[in-house]
Amino acid sequence: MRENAKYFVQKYGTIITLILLIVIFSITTETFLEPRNLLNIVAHISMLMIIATGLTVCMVPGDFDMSIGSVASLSGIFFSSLVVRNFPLIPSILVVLLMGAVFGLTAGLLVTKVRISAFIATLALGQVATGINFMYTRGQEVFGDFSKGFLSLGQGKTFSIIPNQVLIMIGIVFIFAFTMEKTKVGRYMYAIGGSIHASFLSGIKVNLYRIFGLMISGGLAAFTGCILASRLGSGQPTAGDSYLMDAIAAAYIGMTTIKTSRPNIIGTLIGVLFIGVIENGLVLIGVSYFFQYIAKGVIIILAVALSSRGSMVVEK
Amino acid sequence: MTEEIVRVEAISKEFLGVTALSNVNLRLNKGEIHGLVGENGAGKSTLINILAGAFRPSSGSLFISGKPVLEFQPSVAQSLGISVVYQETVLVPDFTAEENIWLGREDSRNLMIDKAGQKKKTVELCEEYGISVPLSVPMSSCRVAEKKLVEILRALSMNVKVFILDEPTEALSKQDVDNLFRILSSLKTRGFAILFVSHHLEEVFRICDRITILRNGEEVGNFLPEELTVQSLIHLITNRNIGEQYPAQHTRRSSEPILEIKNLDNENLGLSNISFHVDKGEIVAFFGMVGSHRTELMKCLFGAEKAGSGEVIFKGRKIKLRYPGDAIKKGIYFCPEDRKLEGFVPDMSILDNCTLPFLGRFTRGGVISKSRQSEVVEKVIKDLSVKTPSADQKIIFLSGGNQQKIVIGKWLIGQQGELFIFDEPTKGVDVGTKMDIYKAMEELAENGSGVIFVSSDLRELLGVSDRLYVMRKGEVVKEYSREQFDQHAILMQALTEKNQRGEVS
Repeated sequence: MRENAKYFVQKYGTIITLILLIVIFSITTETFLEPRNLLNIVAHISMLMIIATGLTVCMVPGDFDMSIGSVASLSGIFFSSLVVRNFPLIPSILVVLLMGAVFGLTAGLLVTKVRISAFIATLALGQVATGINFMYTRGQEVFGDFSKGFLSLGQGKTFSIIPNQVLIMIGIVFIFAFTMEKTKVGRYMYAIGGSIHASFLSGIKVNLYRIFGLMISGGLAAFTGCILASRLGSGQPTAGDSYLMDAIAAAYIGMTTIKTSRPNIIGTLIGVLFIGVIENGLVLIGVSYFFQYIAKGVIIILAVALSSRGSMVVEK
Repeated sequence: MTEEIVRVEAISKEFLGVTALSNVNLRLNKGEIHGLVGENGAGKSTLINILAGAFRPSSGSLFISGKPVLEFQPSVAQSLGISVVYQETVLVPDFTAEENIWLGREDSRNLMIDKAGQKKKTVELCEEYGISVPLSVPMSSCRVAEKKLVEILRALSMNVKVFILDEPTEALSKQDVDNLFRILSSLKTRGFAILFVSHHLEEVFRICDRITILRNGEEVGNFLPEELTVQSLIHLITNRNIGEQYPAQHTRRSSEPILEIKNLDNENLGLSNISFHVDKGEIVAFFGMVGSHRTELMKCLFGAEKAGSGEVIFKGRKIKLRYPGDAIKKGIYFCPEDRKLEGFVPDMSILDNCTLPFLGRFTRGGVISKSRQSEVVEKVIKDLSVKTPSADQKIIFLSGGNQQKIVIGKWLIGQQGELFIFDEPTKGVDVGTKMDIYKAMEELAENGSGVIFVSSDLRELLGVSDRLYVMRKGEVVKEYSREQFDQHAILMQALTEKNQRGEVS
C-alpha cells in the first residue's frame, strides 16, 4: 500500500502541484477563476505549447533541439516579410514551415550522418538562424500593411470568443499525442529513445525517425513564429528567443508525469499549463516582475522534486 | 573450524505481491566457498541484494557474526564486512585500477592526492594477496577478468570478511577462470567466507565446499559436492527429469541450401575470404576464440554491417542488405549476443518488445491494436514458459533468462522466418532456459528453417548442431560434419596459430 502511494505521488506529483497552485490562486485572487482570465492563460500558452510539442517529439528518440527559439524568431520575420510583400497567406505559411523543416532536416543529417550530437548541431544551426535574421533585419522590426488574414492567425477569435491559436494548439496537440502514443511511428520513436541498438536490430530505420523528429521540431518552431508575428502585428527579430527555455522547462516537467522519465506530449501540456498558471497567478497576486523569475524557478524545482522522491527503481 | 560469519534464517521477500524468496536459510562459514545455484528467477539475485543491504526482507532474520542485522542499508552491509562483486562491474571506466581501489578514500597531502603513498599501498595490497593487475591503465581498456580482480582488491582494502561473487566467471577465458580460482582458494585459506553464485555447474563442483540450491524462491537443499553429480544437480535445479541435456538427435539434412556465402571480404570488420553454406532444416554451428570475428560476420548476414565484397546468396538469389529491415523482410532473423544493449528496449513492456520488428502487423487503420499484440505475445509467453506476472511488465524487471526468451520469442512471431541466427543465445542463462532454447532451435530446423548457432560453449554446439565451422581471426578455417565432431580436434583447430591472447572466449 505504501509503495502504491509512493508510486502515485511520483507519477502525479506534478499534476497535484498544478492543482494546488490553481486552488491557491483561486483563493488569494478574485480574478483568477474568471472565464476571461482562464481564456487569457490558454491563449497565452498556446504558442509555447506548439513549440514545446515539437521539442518533445524530437526528444522522444533521444535528440534535442536548441534552435527552436532562433528558428521561431527567423520564421516570424520571414512570414511577416512575405505577407507585407503581398504573398498570399496560406502559401506563405507553407513556405515558412518548409524553411523550419529544412533546419530540422539539416540538423537531422548532421546528427545521423556526420554524427554530431543533436545538442551541438542545433545550437550551431540556431546561431545560423539568428545570423540570417539579423543580416536581413539589421535588428529592425518588419512592419507594414498586414492583411486581415495575417492578423487573424494570432489575434482572431472563433465564435468571437475562442482565440484561433488555441484551436490550432489543440489540433496540434491532438495530432501529435495520437501519433506518439497510438501509432507505429510513435512506438518506433520511443523504442529508439529506449535503445537505439535494439531498435536498429529490430529493423527500424533509426536515422529516418530521428531526422523526422527534428523536422517536426523545426516545422513547429516555424509555425510558432508565424502565430507570434500575427499576435504581435509585426515581425520582431527576437520575439521567439525566449520560448526555448520555457519549452525545455515544460518538456522536462512533462517527463515527471504520465509516462515517467520519458518525454511525452500530454506531460508537456501539463508542464506548459504549469508555467502559464504560475506566470498568470503571480501577476494577479502582484508579485514584482523580477521576483516572478525566482518564484517560477523555485516552484518548478519543487514540483520535479516531489515527483522524483522515492523513484528508486526496485529491480528484482 | 566451522566458524559461522553469516546466517540467514527463514528469509522471505515479496515484491508487490510476487514472492521472490520464501523461507530461505543460508550459512556462510569462515574459510569456506559456498555455491549458490538456481535457474534465472529462482531468487539468487534477491538473496544477494538482501545480503548486500539493498533490499529489506519481508520476514526472517539475518545474523552477521552472531549479531542480528536490523538495518538494511548498503553502507551497513559494507561496514559489517560484506562485499558484493556484481556481474556487471561498478568501476569508473576512465579511472585506473589504483584510482578505483581507493575511490572515496584517497590519502591527501596539502589538498593533493598522495599518489606515491597510494601507489605503494596498492602494490603492497597486490603482493599480500598475490593478485596482479595492470595498475596504471584506465579500467575501460582492461579485460573483464582484470576488472573483477580490481573489485576484489577494492574489497580487500576495506576490511571485508565475506565475498559475494555473482557470476564471476561469465565472459572469462579459461586461464582467467583458473587464475580467479587460485585467488579464491587462497582467500579461503586466509579465512574469508565466499558465496559463489554461478550457472556453470562444473565450476561450482570444482571450487565449492558446499552448495545451496534455490528453485522458485525456495530452498531445495544444502549439499556437499560429494553428495551430488552434475545430473542430479540439474535435476534439483530444474525439477525436470532429463536423461539428456540436449534434445534427441535427428537426421534431416535436405542439402537444399538456404544461404550461401562466397568469398566474403570485409577489411573494416576483419573478415577475409569467407565461404560457407547453410541448408534448409539444419543447425550450423560457428565456433571460435575471442577475435575470431564471429559476431561481425553474423551482423553482415543480417545487414547490420556492410557486407563488403563477395556474394551473399539467399534462397538461390544474390542479395544485398542495406539495413536489418531488409533482412527481416526477406526472412533472416538475428538474436544478438549483447542482450542488454542490443536485444531489447529496457523501459518497454514485454508486449512492445516482442512485437517491435513486426509492429505493422498489429495495427488497425494505423493504430496499434493492443488486443492483437496480446493474442500473439501471450502465446510466446506460454510456448517458451516465460515467467512474468503479465505481458505488460517492463522487460527490464524480468530475470536474464526470461529476457532472453522474449528476445528469441520476438523472432518466432515472424511469419516468413527462414534463416535464424542465434549469437550466443545461452550466455548467462540457466540450465532450464538453455534447454528451452535448444528446443526452440530444434523446432525451427524441424520446420525447414536454417539455423546458425554461434557459441563459445563447444559442448553445447556439439550437442545441438548438425555441422560446425571453426573461425579464426576473421576466417572460416575448417568445416566439420556431425560424424567428424571431436571436441579436442575442434578446439585445437580454433586455437592453433597463436591468436592474440590465446584465450577461449
